[in-house]
Amino acid sequence: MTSPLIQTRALQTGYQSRDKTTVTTKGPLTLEVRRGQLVCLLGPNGAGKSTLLRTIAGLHPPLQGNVEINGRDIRLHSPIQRARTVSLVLTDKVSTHHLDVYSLVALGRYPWSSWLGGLGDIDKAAIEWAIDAADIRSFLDRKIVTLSDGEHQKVMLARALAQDTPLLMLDEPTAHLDLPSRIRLMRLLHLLARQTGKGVLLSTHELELALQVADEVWLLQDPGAFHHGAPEDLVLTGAFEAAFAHEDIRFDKQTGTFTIEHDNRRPVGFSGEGLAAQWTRRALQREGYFIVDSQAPNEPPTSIRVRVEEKSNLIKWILEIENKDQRQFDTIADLLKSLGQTSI
Amino acid sequence: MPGIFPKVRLAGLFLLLFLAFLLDISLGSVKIPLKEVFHILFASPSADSTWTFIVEKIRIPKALTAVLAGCGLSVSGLQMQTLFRNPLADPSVLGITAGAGLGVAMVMLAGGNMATLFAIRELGLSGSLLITIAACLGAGLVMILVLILSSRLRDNVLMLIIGIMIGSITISVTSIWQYFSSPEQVKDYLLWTFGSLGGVTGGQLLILGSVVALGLIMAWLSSKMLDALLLGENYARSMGLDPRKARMVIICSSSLLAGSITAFCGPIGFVGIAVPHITRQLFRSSDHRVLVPGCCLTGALLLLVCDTLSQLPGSSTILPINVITALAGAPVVIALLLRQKNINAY
Amino acid sequence: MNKFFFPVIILLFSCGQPGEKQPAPTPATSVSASSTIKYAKGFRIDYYDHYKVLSLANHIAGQTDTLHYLLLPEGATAPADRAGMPVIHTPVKRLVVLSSSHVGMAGFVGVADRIIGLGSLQYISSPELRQRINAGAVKEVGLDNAINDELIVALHPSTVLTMSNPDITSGKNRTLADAGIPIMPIAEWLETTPLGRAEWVKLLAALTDREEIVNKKFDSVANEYQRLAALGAGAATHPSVIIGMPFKGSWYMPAGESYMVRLLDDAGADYHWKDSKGTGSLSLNFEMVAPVALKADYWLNLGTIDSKAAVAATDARFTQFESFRTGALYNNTLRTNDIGSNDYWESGIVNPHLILADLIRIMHPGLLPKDSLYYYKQLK
Repeated sequence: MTSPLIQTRALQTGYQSRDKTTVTTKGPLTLEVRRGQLVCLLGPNGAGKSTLLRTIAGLHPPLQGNVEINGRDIRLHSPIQRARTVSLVLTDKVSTHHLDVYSLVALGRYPWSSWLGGLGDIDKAAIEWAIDAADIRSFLDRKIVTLSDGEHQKVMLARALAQDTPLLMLDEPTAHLDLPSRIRLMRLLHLLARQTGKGVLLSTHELELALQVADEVWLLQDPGAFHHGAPEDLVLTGAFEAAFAHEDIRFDKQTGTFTIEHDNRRPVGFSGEGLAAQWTRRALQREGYFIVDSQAPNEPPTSIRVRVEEKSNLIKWILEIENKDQRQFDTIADLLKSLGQTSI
Repeated sequence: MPGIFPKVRLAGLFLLLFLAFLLDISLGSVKIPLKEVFHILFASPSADSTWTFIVEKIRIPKALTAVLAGCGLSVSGLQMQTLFRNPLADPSVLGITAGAGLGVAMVMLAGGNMATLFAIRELGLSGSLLITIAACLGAGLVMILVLILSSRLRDNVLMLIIGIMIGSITISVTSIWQYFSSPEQVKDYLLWTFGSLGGVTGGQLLILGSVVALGLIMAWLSSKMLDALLLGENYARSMGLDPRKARMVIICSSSLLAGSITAFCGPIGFVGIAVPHITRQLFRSSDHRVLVPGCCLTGALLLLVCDTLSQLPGSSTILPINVITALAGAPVVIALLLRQKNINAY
Repeated sequence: MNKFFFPVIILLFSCGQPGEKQPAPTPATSVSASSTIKYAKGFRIDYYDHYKVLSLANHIAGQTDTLHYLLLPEGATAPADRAGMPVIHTPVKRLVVLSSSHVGMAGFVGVADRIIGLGSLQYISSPELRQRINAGAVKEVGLDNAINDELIVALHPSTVLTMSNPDITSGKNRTLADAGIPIMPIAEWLETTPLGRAEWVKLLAALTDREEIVNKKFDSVANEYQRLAALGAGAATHPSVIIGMPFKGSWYMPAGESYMVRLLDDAGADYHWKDSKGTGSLSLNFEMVAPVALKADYWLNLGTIDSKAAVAATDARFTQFESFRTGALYNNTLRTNDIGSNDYWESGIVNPHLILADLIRIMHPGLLPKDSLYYYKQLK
């Protein structure tokens, strides 16, 4: 068991508001991030993720308790020592004119470069690696004010990677990225943790992606509660559900996704197996139907039944209306249309 | 990426600067043939001792002052714009130049305090030296105040506001004194506020040169810190910058430059705010290792040209330098900024 | 130079209108003694049977206007055709003056003891006046914008002599006008001849009914001045001169038509810019002055500088002037007292003959019997 890269002791984060009352976000917290570990900080908006992250990064003073890097209080480290251990990707927007991408990434070598900012071979190698890792080689010469939000985000990541620190902390890094980029980023972070042994701590809203890549989840609940552990444990204990509980949404423990709750759901009997059946269920749920398993012994019979049959790559949807009709469809869309026209 | 281009441009600017220097000392109210000017500059004194006096003792010191002031004010402005991440910042933003003005007002206006003035004069400090010292003290006091405040405040915006407030207070106090002064005193003070590059000679030029050189070296050596600050204080801190130390060095250097130049030449506006923008456009870079020398050369060139223009060659009057810098420079900056698409980014 | 500062000026207080034309009644034969004004151009006194009319030229933004004041003996009634003119009862017993030159004039006329209010108590040379100030008999009323009208009203002066041209419509001056205290702008500094400046003492004489004494005194001053001027003009040499102390390379030299140049001319000096136009100063840059300054024989009126070392300290380039090398630096600060007040600005106005004598002694040594200077001293 390696010693933790970063550790908090009885930490209480928050900020002083104007009239001197303290707004305590969380605490007391005792957490750690280890080498090779990817930790995701999750929670609804306003729960204090950013404050916690910034406090651990040393940008914000803790209200109580302390943060330790490599076993030593963060306040005892010199700024350079701290910079060689922790690098950050924040949501701050940088809009300096005439600053090109390469120069911005090169700034990441600040704690390592010479006193006038000169770059040696090691620095240049680190920069090149960071450029490839973040996949920004194609727009290296452009000025940063001409970049899109997503490109900007990647450049900031490259800068942090160039800083070559054992611990990398990111605040909402997927905020402006499209879905493929988001997945790629999470995958990259996961790989970084696994292959390079970096410790990664990030706050995100990407619950589903987090569940796939995080070694540990820190779950903030508004107000007050805090849970941490393996993501699967948090699902099973219902912590996830509780954290995001809301009357209009429901966390589906089976699929690990959130589903939108509908009102006035009509019951529909359903039978079928396989991929087609799975997607048909989703379609029916989206339309606002309540699925009742036709084959389950204790379920009351429903007046409408949907059956999915799959025969040698041909899929048929059969709609049975009690005592009235039996229809067959080739697509889900047709099935839904017909269902919609049926009135009970 | 730092490449060969900055070096070429820097060399080109240096050449232009040299030419501007020669032009500035060749033109003036008294017509002196070009050959004589070169003779005086490079070889022995000219046959006409009056010409030698004019070129050596009047024009060359003035041109050198223009170079020093141009370098110092533009680098000071660059530092302020970077520190506060504000394209409108200039050397006077911390109130240093206002402090200098207050010191001068105390000596020149000072309503009923003539007795103290007389006592000071008894000590043997004559007019212009007294004014310079008073300006230095005023600027110095404000600088100390600002340094103390900066070590306590975490927020740069607060510092900016405080600097502006200090400026307002000094202007108000100066106005009160002006109200109670005689017309001659008011006019003398007004003349001081127009700025003047003449009259800095010999020992004074040496002092100004040393202080400006010190300030410029400090600025260049802090290039790395300035570059980091471009990303904002949060990122800069995460990269290992000590924000308090950075602020101290930058404020010290900028104040030395702005304060000393204002003390010897009066307040000269526009150079500090415009030249950094011109230089950034010229070099298309935000790297301070290039911008600091770039601003020096551009600022010195600009001020030399303005000084040449202010002498209205052939006539006996000189226009105040402040008028020329604004008239000549403002259109240039407007044109440059219009070409730039995103004006908020600096 | 001063003209630039004086803002738009007076309207006569509530009653008098500027430019009002009064019908000219028959001048009287005599009232006490009367004065004729020979040199001064800025004022006029008309003597009538029982009163005098004082006319002052008043300069408003480039145009000249005339202010009239009725000088009426105490107890007499104002003539019907002078209704509307501000009245000052003669002889004036209580005066408020705001300028050093007025103090000098009062001293000449012998009425310094009638000054009960001064603009500033800081710069006074007259020992008599200083004594009265220390005894509390003279109050400070403030200068320019800081003039305290309440204080002035409480002093009950007959009139206030100012040096600037105050805007009569502005609050404070209106208060004084309403209180029956006329303000008199004394523009002696606009005169272009030294005798013209000095002759303004006759205005004070008229106010205080001392024409006979003052006329005699002035005549002897004028005669002495003319005598000296003839000597100066006839001198064998005409040394070149530069005047004043520049600030940062900006030099203000008296213009050709100013009174200073007149003085230099009468002293037999040669002044490079004597043919220039204007009655004020020329604004010249160092470069233009340098060729003249490097070669000038004498350098006069160096501000408040007191020694050669201080001259060099102000600007090292001055050490190359011929006048510096030979030590021909003369400043008009000999009569500066312990509180820093220079009598040149006080009594100098009424002693043009003494100033002229000084200048002749400086520039033509041996021409005059005695060689000791009155106002000037050589800087060592």
